[in-house]
Amino acid sequence: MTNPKKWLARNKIPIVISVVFISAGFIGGLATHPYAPFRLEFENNINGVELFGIICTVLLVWIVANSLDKKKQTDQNAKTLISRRLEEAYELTLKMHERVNEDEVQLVYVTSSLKRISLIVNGADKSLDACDFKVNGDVKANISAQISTLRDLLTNTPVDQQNSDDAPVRIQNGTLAFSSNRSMEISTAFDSIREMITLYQLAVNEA
Amino acid sequence: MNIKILTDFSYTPGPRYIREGKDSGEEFRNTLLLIAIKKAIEDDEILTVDLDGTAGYGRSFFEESFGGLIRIEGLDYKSIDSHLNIISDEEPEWKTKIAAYLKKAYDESQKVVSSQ
Repeated sequence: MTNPKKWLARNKIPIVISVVFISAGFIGGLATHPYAPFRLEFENNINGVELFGIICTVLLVWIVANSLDKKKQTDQNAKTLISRRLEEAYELTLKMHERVNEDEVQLVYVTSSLKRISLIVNGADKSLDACDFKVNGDVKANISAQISTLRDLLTNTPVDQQNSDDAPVRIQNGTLAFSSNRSMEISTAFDSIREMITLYQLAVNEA
Repeated sequence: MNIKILTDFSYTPGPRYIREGKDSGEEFRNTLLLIAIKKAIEDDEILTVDLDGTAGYGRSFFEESFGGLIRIEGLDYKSIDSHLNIISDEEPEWKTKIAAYLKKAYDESQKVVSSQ
């Protein structure tokens, strides 16, 4: 035997529609009843001009609603594409963080990954402008500043450094190695950059 | 006068010093940048350095190549500044960074002069 609660829950929408139509018919019937206190009169003739006006209004409403819906859909697709690109930057920072945590990492890998992240973020910003989406300027500026900090921590070796063991960054044959303190700073910078990318994605969705 | 790092030097610019790895900032300065900027100053022309198209740069590469023009080679800051044009459409931040490296090297050289 069917559970009435489940049946009601399953057929909620048809029930609501039926109730609305039955109520409208009932109220309409009452209002046009010969003994009704506020009896409504309906003309039997149809005025052609008024009918044309009604058809035009309905058509206009349909066109406006349709175009608004299309714009909404286009905007949503653009936001999804931008968000996907930012997701790539997020994944890239994850992979890069893993590689940097290893004992040694190639400088070329670090510089090219940083450039890719930077290009994706700049590209997302350009796409937002092209679509006329407004995003809080601080979000983008914060990511750029954080990429800059990360670049400093990873690739800025001091002048006249002699690759001593206590140096924060050592480089030999194009391979980087970091002190434990520098590694912790780098990890914090990676965490911040990922958090900022997530905030940027949220801002894009809200734009 | 133009230098395009991608075609004239390397797709993968490297570390600060030659001893640290290949395609370093020191090598770039010694083999290309120093000669070109000296010629630009002598001929009163603009040297355009195009940074776009490479795999990416580290901070030390530019600090050594541009800052080294003043710190190592002793060139005049104002002459470099008025004869140098940087193109960096892909990563615009490098334009301001390079200007800052030149200024910092100049400020440090002034400190050394005043302390002597």
